[in-house]
Amino acid sequence: MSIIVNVDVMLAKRKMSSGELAEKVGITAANLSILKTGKAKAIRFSTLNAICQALECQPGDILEYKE
Amino acid sequence: MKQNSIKSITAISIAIMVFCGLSALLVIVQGFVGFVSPEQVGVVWSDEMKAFQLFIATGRMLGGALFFGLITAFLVKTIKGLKNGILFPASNVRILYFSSPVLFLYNFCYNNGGILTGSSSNLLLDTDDIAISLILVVFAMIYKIAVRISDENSLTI
Repeated sequence: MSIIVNVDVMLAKRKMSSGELAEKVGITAANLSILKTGKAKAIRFSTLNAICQALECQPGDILEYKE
Repeated sequence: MKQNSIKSITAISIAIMVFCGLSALLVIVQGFVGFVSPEQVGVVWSDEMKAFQLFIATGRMLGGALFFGLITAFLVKTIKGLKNGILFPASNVRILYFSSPVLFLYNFCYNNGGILTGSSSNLLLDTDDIAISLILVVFAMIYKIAVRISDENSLTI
């Protein structure tokens, strides 16, 4: 898929750990790992909303389209 | 999934498996007795149709046992999947596809049992048998889609 998930980049910018983000968003560490590794097939708006809120960023900062 | 639903599916599946086990045993015993002592079950071997009679007898015995075995495998995988939170195990798709020709073979041989006893010399091809086997193929295709949707659902974050 050409959609790249940049959660790792945002986590580094915010100096936040994966565990902390998972806790704030309310998802399991395993699911966050699926998202980070690009194995996820879809992301719910509610999850995206929670991630953006936790990382204080825009959806475009997390998701990127590459041809 | 609700715990009650899982319990119901498991209980019904176990009941079906017991029934299938007994049916498979009956089919095997019937076939075995037929081969070993044909006079006891009234098998009349015909020189002209011996090859076809053997096909019917073998198909009935092996087809029946294999079909009931496949149903049992399907149900066991379903129960195991439910316990692990998987509603549609992917391996069941292959079982369903394979069950279709096996069921057709079994039904065909069962319906033509008269050829074994000499009560009928005409070949019987029931449209219901073809329809049921094709319905099983359609069910397998739908099940395959369900597996894919289930996978996608589990990978939705």
